[in-house]
Amino acid sequence: MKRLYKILITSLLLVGTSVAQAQEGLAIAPLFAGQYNHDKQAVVVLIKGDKLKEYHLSLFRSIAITDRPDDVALFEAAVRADSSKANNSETVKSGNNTIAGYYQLPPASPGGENRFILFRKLSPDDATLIYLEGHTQLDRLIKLFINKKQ
Amino acid sequence: MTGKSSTHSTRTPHDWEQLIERYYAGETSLHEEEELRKFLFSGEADDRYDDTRAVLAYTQMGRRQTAPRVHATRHHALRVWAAAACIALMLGGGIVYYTTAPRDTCVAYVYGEKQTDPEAVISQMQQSVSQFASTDVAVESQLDAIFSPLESIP
Repeated sequence: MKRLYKILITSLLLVGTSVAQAQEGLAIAPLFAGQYNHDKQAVVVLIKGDKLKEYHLSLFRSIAITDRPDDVALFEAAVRADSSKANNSETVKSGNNTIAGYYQLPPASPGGENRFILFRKLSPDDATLIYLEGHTQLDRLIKLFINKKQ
Repeated sequence: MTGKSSTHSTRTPHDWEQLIERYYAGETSLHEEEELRKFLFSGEADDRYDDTRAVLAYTQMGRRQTAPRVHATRHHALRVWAAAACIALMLGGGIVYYTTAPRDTCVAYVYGEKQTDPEAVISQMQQSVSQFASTDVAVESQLDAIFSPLESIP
């Protein structure tokens, strides 16, 4: 009977942890905590569920900021930290400057969905950060957003 | 024997036989039974008490087997109820979560203003995505083709 209690408690813990969002543990997670929702220099988008189904995505989050160099630097640093965990990535450069980065991170838990970070730095003051989750691959996402170079 | 007030020594063989008769008649108290048991298994009792010794040993063994079972049955029932309650809590919590938690979310905050109209939110998403498009017209067409089905969503 002690074993049954252990199984029950473990199941409860597993259920609890699975409910937690997959972006937790990423450096960009705090950026989506809501502090930009009422920012007059930001556009925040959150879409979850059926509307993303045909793109094999379950979550779309984005923050676009304008005229905020400090926040651009903050986004860049967070993306740089998370990109080290990427198992697949692609960057777009203009000359020596990286103007866009696409990163695929492994699922937060075994059997979970892939995670993606897209970062576009339009200028030192303007940037867009997108976080996606879904059963898709980076190359498919890149085909959606940029031309694949031959 | 020091320390023990051996009541064995206060009873005569005739007393023991009377006690045995009362035992078989079901008239002895628990204390008397215990006293009788101690006497019979003390080594002082001779072979003529073998039958009675065997009966007491048998009943003693029966008590040991039945008494704990009553406690085990009660504890087992409590454990089963506790396990059932845990499972019911888990199921109930899961049902509440899946029925009350929003499964679809569609919201945008455009320069501080909250928008929940799906078309407007999708439009904002398209604008975010368009930041990543190259200037290549073909890519823009692809984006339009990909996201245009969303525009028909009510």
